[in-house]
Amino acid sequence: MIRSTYKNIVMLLLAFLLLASQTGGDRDSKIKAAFLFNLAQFIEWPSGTFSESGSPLVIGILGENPFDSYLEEIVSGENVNGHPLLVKYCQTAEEAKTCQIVFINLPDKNKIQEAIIAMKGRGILTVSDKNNFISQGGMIKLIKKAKKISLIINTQATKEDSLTISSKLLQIADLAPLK
Amino acid sequence: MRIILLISGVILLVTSLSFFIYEVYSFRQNTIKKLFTLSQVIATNTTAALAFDDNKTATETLRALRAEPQIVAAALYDKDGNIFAQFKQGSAVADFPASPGIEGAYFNGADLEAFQPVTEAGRPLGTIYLKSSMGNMYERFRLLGITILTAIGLCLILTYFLSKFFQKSISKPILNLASTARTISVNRDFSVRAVKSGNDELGFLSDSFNDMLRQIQYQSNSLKEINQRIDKSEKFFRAITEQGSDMKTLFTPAGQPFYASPSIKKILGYSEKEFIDAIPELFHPDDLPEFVEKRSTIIDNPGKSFFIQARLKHKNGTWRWCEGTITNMLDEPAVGGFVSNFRDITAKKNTEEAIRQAEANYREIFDKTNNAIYILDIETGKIIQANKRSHEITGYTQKELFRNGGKDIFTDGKDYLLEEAIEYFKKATMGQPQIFEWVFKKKDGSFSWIEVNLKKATIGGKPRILAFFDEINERKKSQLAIQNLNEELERKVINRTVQLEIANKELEAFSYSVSHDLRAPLRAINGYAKVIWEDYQQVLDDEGKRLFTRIEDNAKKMGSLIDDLLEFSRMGRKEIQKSKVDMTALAELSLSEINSAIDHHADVKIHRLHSVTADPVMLKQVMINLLSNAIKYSSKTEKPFVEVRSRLEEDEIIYMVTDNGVGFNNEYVGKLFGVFQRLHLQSEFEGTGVGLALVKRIINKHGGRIWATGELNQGATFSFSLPILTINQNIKNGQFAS
Repeated sequence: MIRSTYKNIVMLLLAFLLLASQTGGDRDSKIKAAFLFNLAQFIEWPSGTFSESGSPLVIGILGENPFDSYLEEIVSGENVNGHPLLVKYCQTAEEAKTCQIVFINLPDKNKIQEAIIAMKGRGILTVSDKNNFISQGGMIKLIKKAKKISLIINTQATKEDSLTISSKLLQIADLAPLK
Repeated sequence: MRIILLISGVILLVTSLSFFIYEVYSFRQNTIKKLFTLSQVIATNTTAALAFDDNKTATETLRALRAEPQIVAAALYDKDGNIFAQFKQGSAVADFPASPGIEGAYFNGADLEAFQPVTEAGRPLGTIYLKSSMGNMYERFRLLGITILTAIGLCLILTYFLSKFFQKSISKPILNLASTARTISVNRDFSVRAVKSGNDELGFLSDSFNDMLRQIQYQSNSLKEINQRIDKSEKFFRAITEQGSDMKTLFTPAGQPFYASPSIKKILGYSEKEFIDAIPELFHPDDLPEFVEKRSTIIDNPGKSFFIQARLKHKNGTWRWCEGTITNMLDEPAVGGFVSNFRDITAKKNTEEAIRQAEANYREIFDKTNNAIYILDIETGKIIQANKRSHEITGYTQKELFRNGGKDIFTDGKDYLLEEAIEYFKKATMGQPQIFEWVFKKKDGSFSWIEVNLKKATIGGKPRILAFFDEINERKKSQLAIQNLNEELERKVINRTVQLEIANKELEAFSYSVSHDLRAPLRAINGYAKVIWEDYQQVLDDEGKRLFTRIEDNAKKMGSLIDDLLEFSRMGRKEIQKSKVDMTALAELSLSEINSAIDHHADVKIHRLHSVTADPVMLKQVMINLLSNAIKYSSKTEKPFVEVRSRLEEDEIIYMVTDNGVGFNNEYVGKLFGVFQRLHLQSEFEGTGVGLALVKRIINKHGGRIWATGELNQGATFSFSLPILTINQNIKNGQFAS
C-alpha cells in the first residue's frame, strides 16, 4: 500500500514535470508504457510459457525505445501472478523471441512484417502503434482516437497463438474485423 | 387472572420487540450486503476501463444501475482519486464526495453510502462509490411496528377469555391431586392412587403421579429388603468373627478399644469390659518394648500392619503366648481405626521349647559319645559338622577340621591315602556301610589307630555321610600280639612238618633199600637150594626131602613178601595220575584177570558202578586186591557169592565189595589194614598181609577212606570211598596247582 502510494506520488510528480516541460508525444508514450504494463494483467499465456511459477514475464521492445525509462520505472518491482516483470531491449526479432510481450517499434513496414512472422506461433503478444499493424497480422494496436489512446485487438491472431484475452479487456477495446 | 394477563402481555411485548430489533438489524445487514454485491459487480466490470482509461465504457457500466431504484447515485474514481465516471438515478439531486472515502458502508441520514476499491489481480485501479436511499426501509419498519402492536392487543383479549374458560376444567383435578399427595405424605401410604379425571393432560398427569407412586412403593420395598440383607450380612460376619478362635479388637484412632471379640474370654479369661481395662498391663514387660516400637511404625501409615509374638496376661495372672497382626485401617471408612487379630500359640511355643530341649539332648549325646562323629557332605566329602569328641580324638578344633573339609588331616596330605579314603567314601555313598581301620596323625604329631564306620544317612532332609571314629589303639595292640603269636606257631608247624616229611622219606628209603637188599641173599638161597635139589636129591631120605621142600617154600614166600613190601613202598612214592575212570569196566577187567590167574567157583556179581576221577592203574590194584580177597575168603563156603556195588553220597562215592565168606572177628577190625597183619593162618588162606595195607595206602592217597564190616563166618563187606572232586577241592588240594 505504502509502496503503491509512493509509486503514485512519483508518477504524479513525473506527470507534472512532463506536462510542464515536454510535448504531448511524451505524454502518449507514458500512457502507452502504462498500457503495456496493464496488458500483462489481462492476458493469459498458454500453459508451458513459463518454465517455473516464478519465471519472469519479459516485455520486449523491438527497435527504437520510445519510452525512455518510463516502462522500466513502471515495471520495476512489479509482478503479475507471481511472475516478476522485466524489460528487454531487442534489435532483432530473434532476440525478442524469449519475451512474452513485444512492443514492435520498427520504422520499416517490411521489417515489421518479418518480425510478426518471426514471432508467430510462439505465444508472444505483439503490440505496436504503427499503421497497418493489424492487417499485417499483429495482435494489439495502440491507436490515438479523440485525443485518447485506445486499443484494437486482432482476436484471430491471439487465438492462433493460444493467447487468452480477458473479456474485460475485450469489452473496452475495438475488435479487428475477422478475415 | 390479572397475573396471567400481565405475564402474557410482557411475553408478547418482549417477543415482538426482539423480533422487531432482529428485523431491523437483519434488514440493514441485508441492505449493506446487497450494496456490496452491487459495488463488487461494478468494480469487476470496470477494471479494464480504468486500466485503459476508457471512461465512456465505465459510464455505460454504471448506467446499468438504473434497474436498482434504491441506488440514487454512483461514481467511479481513478487511481489518483479523481472522478472517472458517474451516475444519477432519474432526476435525483445528488452530489458525490470529491475524493473516495475509506472502504466500507456508512449510514448517512436516510442514505447508505459504500466505498469499494476496484482491483485487478490484487492491484488497485480505482474506487467505486454507491449511495442507496433508505426511505423504503423506514416505511417498512413503521408498518411492521403497527402490525405487531395490533397482534399484541388481540392476543391479550383472547387470553383473558380462554383462561377464564380453562380455569374450571384444570384447577379442580389439580386440587384433587394435591389432596391425594397430602394424604400420602401424612400417612406414608404409597398404595393410595389418584383418581383420573379424563384423557387430557391432567389425566396423563394423574397417570404419571400414580406411576411415580408405584415406583416409590417398589423402591421403598426394595430398600426394606436391602436393609434386611445388610442386617443379615452384618450378623453373618459378626457371627464368623465371634465364632473364630482369634481375638479381634478394634481401636479408635486414639487407641481406645471399641470392639473386642468374645474369644478373648476363651483365651485370656476377660470379659469385653475387663479386657479394655486390662489393656495397659496386657503385654509382658519383656515384650512391651518390641510392641511399642512396632506400633510406632504403623501409627501414621494407613494400610500398614505389623506382626508380633508376645506374652499376654491372662486374667488369672499367668502369661499366654500369642501372635498376631495389628493393622492401621484409618483409610478404610467402614473401620476407621486399628484392627488387631491375635491367636493363642502357647501350645505351639511349648512344642517349640520341647523340640529345642530334645535338640539339646541329642546335641549332648552327639557330643558326649565315645566316638568322634562327623557329618560329611555327600557331594564334596567335606566335614559339615563334628562333635566335641572329634576334637578330643584328633586334637584339632572344629574350625581347623572345617578349613579344608578334613582331607589333609586324615590323609596326612598323602595322595594314595586320599585315593583310598575316596574309594571307601564312594562305596558308602552308594549305600554300602564301610567299616575299616585307619591310621592318622594327630595334631600333636602322634599316630593313632581308629576304626572308621561310614554310613549313608539322611540328616536335615539331605543325604549325608555319617563317619564314626573309634580309637582302637589298645585293641590293635592285642590284635597285633595275637597275630604275631599265630605266625610264630605256624612257622613252627611248618618246620615240624618238613622234619616229619624228611623222616618219612628217610624211613621209606630205608625200607625200600632193606627190601631190595634182602632180595640178593634170598636169590642166593633159592639158587643154591635149586642146585642142591637137582644134584643131591637122591641122597636125601624122605624126611630130608620134606624139610628141604619146607626151606624152598619159605624162601619163595619170603620172596613174595619182599615183592609186596617193595610194591607197597613204591606205592608210597608213586605220583597219582588222575583221569576219568569207568569203574564198572575196571571191575570187570579186574575180574577177568583174576579168573585167568586162579581157579575158583565163586559167583561174582558186578553192579553198575559210578564213574570217578582217579588213578586207573592204582584203582585196578585196589579192585583186584579186594575182589581176590573176597573170592579167597569165600572159597570154603558152599555157595561162594561176591557182589560189587557203589553208592553216591553228598561229596563222595562209596564202593562196596561184599562176600559171604568166613568174615572176621570185629574185635580185630583195626588190624585188618596193617602191614603183615593177618587174622587167618597162612595154612587156611594164602597171603602176605600186605594187600589190604596197600589198598588203604592207595585210597588214602586219593583222599578217600576205607573200612570193613563183618562177623565171624557171616561174610564181610569192604568199603572205600573216593571224593567227588570239585574244582575248589582240586585247588585246595593243590592237584591242579602245577
